[in-house]
Formats: sequence, structure tokens, C-alpha cells
Amino acid sequence: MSLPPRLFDRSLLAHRLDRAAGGFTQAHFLRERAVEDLIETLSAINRQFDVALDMAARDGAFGRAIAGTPVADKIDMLIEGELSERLSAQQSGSARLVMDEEALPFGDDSLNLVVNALGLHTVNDLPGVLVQVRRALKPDGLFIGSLFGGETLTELRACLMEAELEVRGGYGPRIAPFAESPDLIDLLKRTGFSMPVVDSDRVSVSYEHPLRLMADLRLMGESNILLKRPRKGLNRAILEKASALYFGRHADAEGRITATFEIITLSGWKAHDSQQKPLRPGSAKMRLADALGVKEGKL
Amino acid sequence: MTDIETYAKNELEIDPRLLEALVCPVTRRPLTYDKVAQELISPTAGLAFPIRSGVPIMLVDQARKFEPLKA
Repeated sequence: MSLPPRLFDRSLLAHRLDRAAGGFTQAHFLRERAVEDLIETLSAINRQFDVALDMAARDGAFGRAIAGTPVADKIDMLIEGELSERLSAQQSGSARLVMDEEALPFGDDSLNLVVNALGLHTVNDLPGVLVQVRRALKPDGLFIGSLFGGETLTELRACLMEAELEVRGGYGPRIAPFAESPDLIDLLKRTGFSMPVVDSDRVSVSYEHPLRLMADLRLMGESNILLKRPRKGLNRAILEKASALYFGRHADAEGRITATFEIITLSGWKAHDSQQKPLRPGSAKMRLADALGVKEGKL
Repeated sequence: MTDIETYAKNELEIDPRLLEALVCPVTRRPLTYDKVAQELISPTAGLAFPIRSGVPIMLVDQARKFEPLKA
């Protein structure tokens, strides 16, 4: 079996998150939004979850956000798992662990709910991670996760690429590729989840300058972790050119620029006999033509 | 160790339900809890994962390595 190509440097991610831990709440708005999206999905589900895992808990935003809400009543125990030990120390829950989402340390059929707010775009092998999650879930267990989607940072990506090309005559990958939502429904099905749902939430963020946007990405621990990231950093000439392009294309009436983020939320259940499923082909008890009140014709 | 420190250490006991759900991230086999050393030991992987302040550190690069037992 060949492993999929590795895109991301996970130990660099741990390092970036450790470094971002001190000021993590300063650029918290996207994570808050993603957590809200997860909670919204969970609120609509009338179910008790005995043991839940937040597998990319970061500073414990999900645990804090549900405290005192009806969602907290649905979860008996919340385990907070996080790659960065420094972020883990900021969580307020009583059951915490430091772990890598790519090597889930949970036994088969051990969890009733797994959530992941904006962690899934940094894993190398998303199908592999989803399979691990499904195995760790008990039958009829639920997974809800989110990640940045393909619309994310399209403006910055294009401006940086063009500016670097113009200044250096070539460019390297500065922003990671992101998954597209139609592919994710298929991925959930392929990795064995039933009743998969994928939902996309576009967030436009206004900044006074592209450099402020890039500073925020660092504060979020979201700066480049691509294994093939260019060894040469962006220089002043490239940043100035990219900023000029950005202002030229995406400035609003007040002279502020817009950055798009797409937060994709996906959910699926581990199969259980009690779940609704499609009937077998040919098992219908009534003709479609009769139901529609039309005459059946030849194809 | 002062009484306060002893008390703090006991307060940071790992939650038994978390302990029950955890397996070795490498072999996916059960772990042995060494309460005195504060380690979670995976005998067949030859890895001992540290528990710091009641928080298991389930990362291979943070684990103590030893000669694995034959499965």
C-alpha cells in the first residue's frame, strides 16, 4: 500500500501553535465562527452523547462555548485533545490530552461524538483521519468537523503569486491547497460514514491592510506549514507589490480590503442498524408511474 | 513535598473514563497505566507516554523508548 504524499509539516504546525498560544484569542473570530457552526449542527440533533472528543481543541474554545448551553447537557464527558501542549494548558476541561489528529489514540468503538473545529485542513491524509475517527466512534456515533475550503484566501493567494512572479520571475506555494465541498461528501461516503452532510459558510473579513491579514494568520497559528514551502521568504518588494495588487482589486469604499474565508462543516454517522437507509433496488411495492399518475412508456 | 503540592497532584489524576478509551497511537493496542512513574506504557511498541499534570502526552516524539516486548 502506498501512502498519500505528505503535504504538511505537522511538527512545524505544533511549533507554530505553541508559538501562537500566548496571543491565541487575539485573532479568534474565525475559530469562534467555526465553533458556532459546530454548535448549530449539534443543537439540531436530539441525542445524548456519553463520551465526546474534541480532537483539535486548541485553547478549548468549543468546551467554553458550550458551557451553560443546552449542548453541554447533551454531552456527559468532553475530552479535549490538542497537538500543542501550550494551547492544551489553556483549556478549562478536566479530561485533556496532547495528541496528533493523524494518529488518534482511541480504541475502536470508544467514543459517541467527535468534533474538530478548523483542524482538518492541516492533516496530510484526510481519508485516513476520517477512517480513524469512524473506527473510534461507537455504532450510531457522530462526527462533526470543519476545515477551510477552496474559497479561502483566494485574493491573497493570487496577489502573492503574481507579485512574486513579477519580482523574482518565479513563485513558490505560500498558501496551502484547500478541499472543495463537493469532494467532501464523496469522501465521507468513501470513508464509511452514513447520512453525510457538508455545509459551507463564507466569511468576508475586512482589513485595513494585507499585512494585517497576514499578521492575523500568524496569530491563529495558520502560517505556511507546507513541506514544499519555499526556503526563500517573501521580501519587502514582493509584499509591497502584493499589497498594491490587493488594494487595486479588493478594496471597498472606505479603502479597506476584503479577505474571504470558507468554513466547510462536515458531519456523518457511524452506521447502525437503527438508521434509515435506502431501500434495495427493485423492492418498491408501488409503481412510480402510478404514484405520479402518468402512463408508463417505453424507454 | 508540601501538603498543598500533594493535594494538587492528586487533583490532577487522569480521568478514569479517558484512561479507559486511550490506546497506543502506533499499535492501537491497550496501554498500561504506571501510576507511580506517571506513564502510559505501550509494551509492544516499546513506548512510554508521559503524563504531565494529569495530561497524557500521546506523541511518539515525546515518549520514552524501550526495547519492545515480542507480541
